[in-house]
Amino acid sequence: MFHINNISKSYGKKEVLHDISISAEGGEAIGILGTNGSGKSTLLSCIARACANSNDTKIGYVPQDNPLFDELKPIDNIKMWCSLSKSEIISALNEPPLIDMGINNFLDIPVKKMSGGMKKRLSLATVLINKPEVLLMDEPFAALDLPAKQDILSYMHSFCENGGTIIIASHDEDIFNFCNRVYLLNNGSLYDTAILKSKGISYIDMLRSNINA
Amino acid sequence: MHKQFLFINLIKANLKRLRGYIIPILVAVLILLGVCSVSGIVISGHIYKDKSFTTVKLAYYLPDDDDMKYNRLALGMLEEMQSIEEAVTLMQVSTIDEGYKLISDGEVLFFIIVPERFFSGIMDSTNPPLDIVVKDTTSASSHIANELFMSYATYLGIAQAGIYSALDTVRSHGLDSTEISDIQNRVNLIYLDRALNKDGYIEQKDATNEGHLTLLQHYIAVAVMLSLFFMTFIIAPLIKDYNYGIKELIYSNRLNDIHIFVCNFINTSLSLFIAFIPCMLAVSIAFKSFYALGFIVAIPVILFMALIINVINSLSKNTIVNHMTLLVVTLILTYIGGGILPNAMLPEIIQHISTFMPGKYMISAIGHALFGI
Repeated sequence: MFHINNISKSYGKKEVLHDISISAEGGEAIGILGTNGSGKSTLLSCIARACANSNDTKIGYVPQDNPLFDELKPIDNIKMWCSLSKSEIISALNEPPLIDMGINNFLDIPVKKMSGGMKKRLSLATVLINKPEVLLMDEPFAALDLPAKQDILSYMHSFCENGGTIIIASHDEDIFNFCNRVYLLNNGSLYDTAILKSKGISYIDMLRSNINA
Repeated sequence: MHKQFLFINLIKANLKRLRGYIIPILVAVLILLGVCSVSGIVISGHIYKDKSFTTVKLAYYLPDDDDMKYNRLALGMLEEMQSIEEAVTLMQVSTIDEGYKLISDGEVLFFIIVPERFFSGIMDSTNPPLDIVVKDTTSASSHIANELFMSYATYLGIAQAGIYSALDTVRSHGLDSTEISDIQNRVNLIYLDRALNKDGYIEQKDATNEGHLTLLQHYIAVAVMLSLFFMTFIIAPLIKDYNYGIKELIYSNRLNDIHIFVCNFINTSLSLFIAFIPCMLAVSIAFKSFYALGFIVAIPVILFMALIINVINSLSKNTIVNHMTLLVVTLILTYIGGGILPNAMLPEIIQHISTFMPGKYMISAIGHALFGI
């Protein structure tokens, strides 16, 4: 079980996150909904750093920007974020769950020539190679076409089915279909969207912060 | 992932990234080295001496006597004195009172009163004395003024006349031999040497070498330093601009900005050292000598350069600011270090500042690395 408590963050006098706590079971997917600038990325970043410092849970963090060096080959990019040798990485890429991502099919393509979908899959691979228990994904579908989005969603399903926990930050409506629970991040606090929906607040209104919670 | 692993991986990854730029970096370094070296050689061939003159201001009164031919000759001589060297500034006054006023105001050092028929008197060997007026010691100053005439007006054959007139002037003031001797000694000590020796008016700045290096070696060292600095314009974006995603992962793996700085510092140092190798080889081929120890001598300079570059990198908000700051700092370091003009040619105040600035020592150390310890 993943549990994180009392995350707060301020930029100067502005409090972006106020005393946020999240818990999730293995196999569960949690969605964080919010508009641009609401603090979703900051929340995931804070969770990642807090977990890295505590060493309790093995975290995999996929930032919105692909953490890839354009000048390096895919294998070198993966190697950058793990302590495995090249041969160990290649054998890991040929085993589940990474084999499903098809990284082997574009190992020779320089990163700068890759499509957005390829880059996102490679980014995911750089994280999954360390076999995380909890996956933090910041806007995983941003700038992806529909097939690429479906691919990423299927890997996410597969990760959860194998007992992993995913926390996704997004403003994409599809996270309602994928996640077990979705929270709205508004003014530094999390609101359960299930409760908001029961009050008749639409998705658009949630994003427009027209909530009277 | 352990942060130690990530730290080492980051250095390795950056080196791999640089590997892709190695050809353009080497080409750029060699082109810069060539351009800077040629510029340096051209400069070193032309600027090695400078002259600054100490101007003595003189006023003179030339009467309208009946021998205008000689007066015109005298005027020509005086003008010639001014044009030969800029050591004396001459000012003709129309009345004797005007000359005295200039003396009392401190506008001129001497006021020379030319008597009537003075020049024709020189030609017919009657040698009438000049009346030389100064604020302090009349006779001593007359001696100088006459020596000046002697020095500059030899073509008229009046050098001896000048000396005679000086002695006459001294005697005409009724001084005894002790006083005359005393005045002459003071003149010799203070002024005469300057009057007789034209170079005494000229402060020569010798810049034929820079420390233990010849000027040519000095400029080659400057060329190498500039090449290395400017090379960082290529690698600066590589060693600074990690995208947001990479930075996020670095931070989430418990590395901080200090780790990134150290990592970038190591990468920059290695890159500079790699770029220094072709410079060293190019200089070795050009000068037909190779100093293997030079690689060790260059290390402190390269580390210092890497430090400067990374401090600027860290403080700059973007690549443009980074490049502009680096350019300004490089040029200031190079100028104050004597890399544009040799140190001796710089203004005195800059030379003092230079002692406390690293540029001078960086150029010197690179020079010693290239041309031997």
